[in-house]
Amino acid sequence: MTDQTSRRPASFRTYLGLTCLLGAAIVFSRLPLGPLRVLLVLLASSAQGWFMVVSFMRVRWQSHLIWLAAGAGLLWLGILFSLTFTDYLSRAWTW
Amino acid sequence: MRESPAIHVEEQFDDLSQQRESSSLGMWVFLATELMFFGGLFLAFAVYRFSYPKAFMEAASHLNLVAGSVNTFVLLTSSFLFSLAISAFRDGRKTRTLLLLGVTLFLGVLFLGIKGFEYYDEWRKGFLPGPAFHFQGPDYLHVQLFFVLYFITTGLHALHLFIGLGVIAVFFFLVARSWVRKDREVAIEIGGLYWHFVDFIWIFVFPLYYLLGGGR
Repeated sequence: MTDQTSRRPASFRTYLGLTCLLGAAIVFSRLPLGPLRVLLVLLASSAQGWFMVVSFMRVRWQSHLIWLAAGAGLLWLGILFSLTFTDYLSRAWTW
Repeated sequence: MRESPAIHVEEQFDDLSQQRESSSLGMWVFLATELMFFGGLFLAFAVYRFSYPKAFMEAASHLNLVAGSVNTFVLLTSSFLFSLAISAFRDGRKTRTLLLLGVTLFLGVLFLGIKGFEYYDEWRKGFLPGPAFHFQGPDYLHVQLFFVLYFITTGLHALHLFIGLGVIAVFFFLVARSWVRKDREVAIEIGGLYWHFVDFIWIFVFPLYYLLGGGR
C-alpha cells in the first residue's frame, strides 16, 4: 500500500455506511424477530465497529506489528467471553 | 502551519517512518488495554443479562432511545470530522483544520450535554442506584443492578470522552497559534485514534443498553 493511499481521509461513503448500519440496528431492535433480533442488532453494531477500526482508525494500512497489538486485545476479549460463557451456557446440562 | 526546515528524527530511530510507527504502536498497545478494561464491563453486563433477561429488558425500556440514537449519530459524525481534520492538517490548511476541530469539539460537548440531560431525567425518575432508587416491580434488585452497570459504563465512557475533548482542545490551541509543525502530524493522528476508540466503545454500549431492551 502506498503512503498516499494510507493517508487518505476516511471517505464519506464509510460515514454514510456507518449511519445506515446505525439505522439498521435501531430498526432490527424494534422488529418482533424473537432471538434473531439480538443477533441482528449485534451483527449491525459489530459491522459498525469493524468499519470504525478498519477505515477511521486506519488499521488496514498499519504495519503487522500494530495488527498484532490490536489483535491481542481482541484475542483477550475473545478468551474472556468464551471461557465465561462456556461455564454459564453449560450449567443447565445434566449427564 | 509552521513548515519545518528539516524533519526531525529522534536519535533512537533509524528514520521518520520508524519514529511514526513507534508512536502509533504505543497508542495501539494503550488502546488494547482500554479494550480489556471496557471488555470486563461488557462481560459483566452480558452475564447478568443472560441470568436476568426479563429484569434487564424491563430496565432497558426506561432508557431514552431517542437520546441514545442521537448521541450515537453525533459521535459517528465527530469521528468522521476528526478524520477530515487530520487530512486538512496534513495538507497545511489551517482554517479548515481549525473549523473541523472546532465542530468536533462542539459535537463532543453536545454528546455530554445530551448524556447529562439523560442522567438528570433518570435521577428524577428514581433510577439512580442507592437509597433513592425507586422502582415498582418484582425484579427490583435486578433492575437496580442494570442501572448500576449502566451508570458505571456510560460514566466511564463519558470520562474518556471528556479526556478526548481536552486532547482536541489542546490541538485546536496549538494549531491556532501555529505552535505545531506540519511534520508532527503523528501527534494529531494519535489523538484521532483515541477519539475514534471512544466512539468504537460507544458503538457497543448503545446496542447493549438501549437497543436490546424495549426502548422508548
